Amino acid sequence: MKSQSVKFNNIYIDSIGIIVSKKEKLGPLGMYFNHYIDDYYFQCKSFEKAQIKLSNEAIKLAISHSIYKENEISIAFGGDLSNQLYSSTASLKQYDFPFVGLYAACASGILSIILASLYMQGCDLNNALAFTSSHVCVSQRQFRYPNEYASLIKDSMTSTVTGGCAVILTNMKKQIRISKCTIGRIIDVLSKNVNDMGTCMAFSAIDTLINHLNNNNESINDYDLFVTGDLGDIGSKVFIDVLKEKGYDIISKHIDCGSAIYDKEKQDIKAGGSGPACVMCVTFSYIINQMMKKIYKKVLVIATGSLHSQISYQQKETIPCIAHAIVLEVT
Amino acid sequence: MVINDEKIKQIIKENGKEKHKIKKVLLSFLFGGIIGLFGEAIYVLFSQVFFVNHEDAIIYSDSVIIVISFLLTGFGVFDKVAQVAHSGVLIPISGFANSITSSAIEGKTEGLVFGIGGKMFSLIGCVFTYGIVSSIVLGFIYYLMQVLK
Repeated sequence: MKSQSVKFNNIYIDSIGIIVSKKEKLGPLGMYFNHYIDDYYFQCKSFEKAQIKLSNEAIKLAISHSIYKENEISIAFGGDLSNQLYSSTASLKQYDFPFVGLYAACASGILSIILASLYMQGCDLNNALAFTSSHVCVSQRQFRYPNEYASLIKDSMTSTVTGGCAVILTNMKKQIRISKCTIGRIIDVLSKNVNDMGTCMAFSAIDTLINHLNNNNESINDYDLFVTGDLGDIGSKVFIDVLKEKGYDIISKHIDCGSAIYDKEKQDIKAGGSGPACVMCVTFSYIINQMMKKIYKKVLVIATGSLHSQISYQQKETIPCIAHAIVLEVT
Repeated sequence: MVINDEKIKQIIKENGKEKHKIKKVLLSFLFGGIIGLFGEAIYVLFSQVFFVNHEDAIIYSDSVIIVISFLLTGFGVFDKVAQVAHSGVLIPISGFANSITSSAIEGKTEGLVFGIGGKMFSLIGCVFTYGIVSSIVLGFIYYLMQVLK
């Protein structure tokens, strides 16, 4: 068997730090976000600096709620969308724990959690930190056009979520545990349309979901909820329709973080939210909250990432996508 | 893993299709027309009221539209207008002004040389390049026509 899926014995979620911008706060899930920033600059000189501060604040919040002190954190895993992961790297300047930077586009956050868990289990550590951040203006600048440029927003386009999320994992028993993970494969459906990443990512999410169920000998009835990262409305529809054709009917058990985070009518959003902070902020606020109330007991979170760059897009290359999954369980 | 499936290609094609095309075309036409009308009004104002000559009045009316676009971009309104007006505000000279200003604003954080100076024409550079190339080609054709006469 391929070592695509791994079981974890003693990985629990110790504390969570989430900070978002006002736009997410005003969205339908706003009441689950306790900390937010008023403007995109966050009292900094540039958007890039603001993203570093977001990431830093999220880590600070997570550490402040944790049973571990700052100097007790064993290792940190993190990633974001900025060039050379500068936001993640720079946000750890003041800390002295070891750091591994990861890139899986919008799945960076979940991949950080997977690797942190694997590292904890493999090296027998008692804690690890996983974090991510994204900023709409930084991503817009890097992947699309200047922020004030009047590029036309297509119906299939998603808007990057501004926020930071940090999670501290522990081996001491807590309410929510991470029980399994599945690392995704690169799936390329030969799409070149970067304005519709939801559709291409849906197929990698489907692949990871089916592999996860097969590797663990499970069926969809074993789960209470399937959470996808940032497929948006269009991608979610593809995800549900194609899975139905393959014999998995998950329509009543599916939430897409990108579709859930914004109010499309009031907030001038086309297909939904995206970015590594999207899946992390929704999962570790709203979903965890519902799990604490025992509404959902076992949840599969599939984070999807579209691994294109601006150069690959201009050279008219196809978009490879990836999806990583973790299982959250109430203990 | 590459999945080469006709059915998936069909889904991608279907989802990539632009919706409400006719509405967008009509809105573009309307807003483009309004800008044209506005430019004409300024031309008339300068030529009839201030008695500026024909060539200068055209330059003035262009300049007024450019300055307005600069200001709207700077205040962050232009991109919102463009979502409604579509190509109506992008094809006229207002779109050109927006590209330059937005690139310059974006470059502000990288300083005067690499930022504002270097990035100002990053989007609009192609217009200059092909403008010059096409004028060379057309100039050559014009020259040939003169010689052959």
